[in-house]
Amino acid sequence: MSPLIDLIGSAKGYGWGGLLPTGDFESISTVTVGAGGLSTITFSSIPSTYTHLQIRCYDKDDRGFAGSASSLRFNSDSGANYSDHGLVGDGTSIVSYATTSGTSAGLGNTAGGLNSNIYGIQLVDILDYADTNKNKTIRTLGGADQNGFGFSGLFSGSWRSTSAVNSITLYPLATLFNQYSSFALYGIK
Amino acid sequence: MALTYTPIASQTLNSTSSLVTFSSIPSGYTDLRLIFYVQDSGEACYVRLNGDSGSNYSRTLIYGHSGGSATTRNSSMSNWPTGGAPSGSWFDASILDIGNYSNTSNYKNAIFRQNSMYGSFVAKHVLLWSSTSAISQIDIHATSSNSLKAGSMFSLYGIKAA
Repeated sequence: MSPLIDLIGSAKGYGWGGLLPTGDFESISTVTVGAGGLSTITFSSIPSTYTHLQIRCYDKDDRGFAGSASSLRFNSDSGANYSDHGLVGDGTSIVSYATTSGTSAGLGNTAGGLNSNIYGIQLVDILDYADTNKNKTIRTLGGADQNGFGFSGLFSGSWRSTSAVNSITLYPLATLFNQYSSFALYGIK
Repeated sequence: MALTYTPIASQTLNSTSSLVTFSSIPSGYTDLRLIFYVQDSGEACYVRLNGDSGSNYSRTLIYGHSGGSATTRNSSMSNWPTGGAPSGSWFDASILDIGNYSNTSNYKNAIFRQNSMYGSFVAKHVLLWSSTSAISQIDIHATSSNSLKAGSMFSLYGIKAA
């Protein structure tokens, strides 16, 4: 193997994933929001046969601002079992935050409903989701640029439970995810 | 389960070039991922979509280096700047994820992760192309009087949702 290939290959861990052999990354389920919007997005009966999960979100909600945010819960657990952290910049200032004992884990910034045609992007990785010996950790690369307004951030979260993840529910900061928002769940072997 | 994450095309430069093009990109995937491993004499290569050189590109980014961390935003640009190591044995390793690239209802957004071993910094961009056109071509340009150097590698993958 050439040094170039070897270097890139060494970074193939999920999230990089550049040289994943065909079959290591599988589509499990996709939700695209129709007219009228959706208040939640749920992936249920998630098979336990993968090593990691990834959700690729292109979304916005009906908040009347350019920016918004979203969050998730696992296995319908609404207890205070979540925490999250973020490092986010808006082009002017960069801030970090942490929350503890929340009832959901934040996925960071996405787009609100102010600007038509513009959606946010969030790539969410859920590590070792079926292992019953570990609390669960997630990370998100996310944000939304709107040509003069934007957020770009790195986000992480945890669910203090050793249960295997078999369902994921996503929530908008506002009331509804808007039409054309899409959420695609993948399994990584 | 539907298999996905499919190689579409890959190019490794055997000699310097001012431009690398992925054209006739099929529309049958959901997302695109372009992996760069690039050396550029001007440290300033950039991406254009569908040959569009209008002021339709913007970005918000955070980055960090030995001197600290910062954030920047740029509006109404004529391309997405992506950079590159200038010389020696260093190549910048970067990944561009473009979402819903073939939809014709919304503007296109993307995440670009840049790791510069030469410059010792890491950056994460959120990008917007203010166009509802489906993306069928991605160009990686060197800036004027500069070039993409031999050994630079560009690999394009398609990710297909069920």
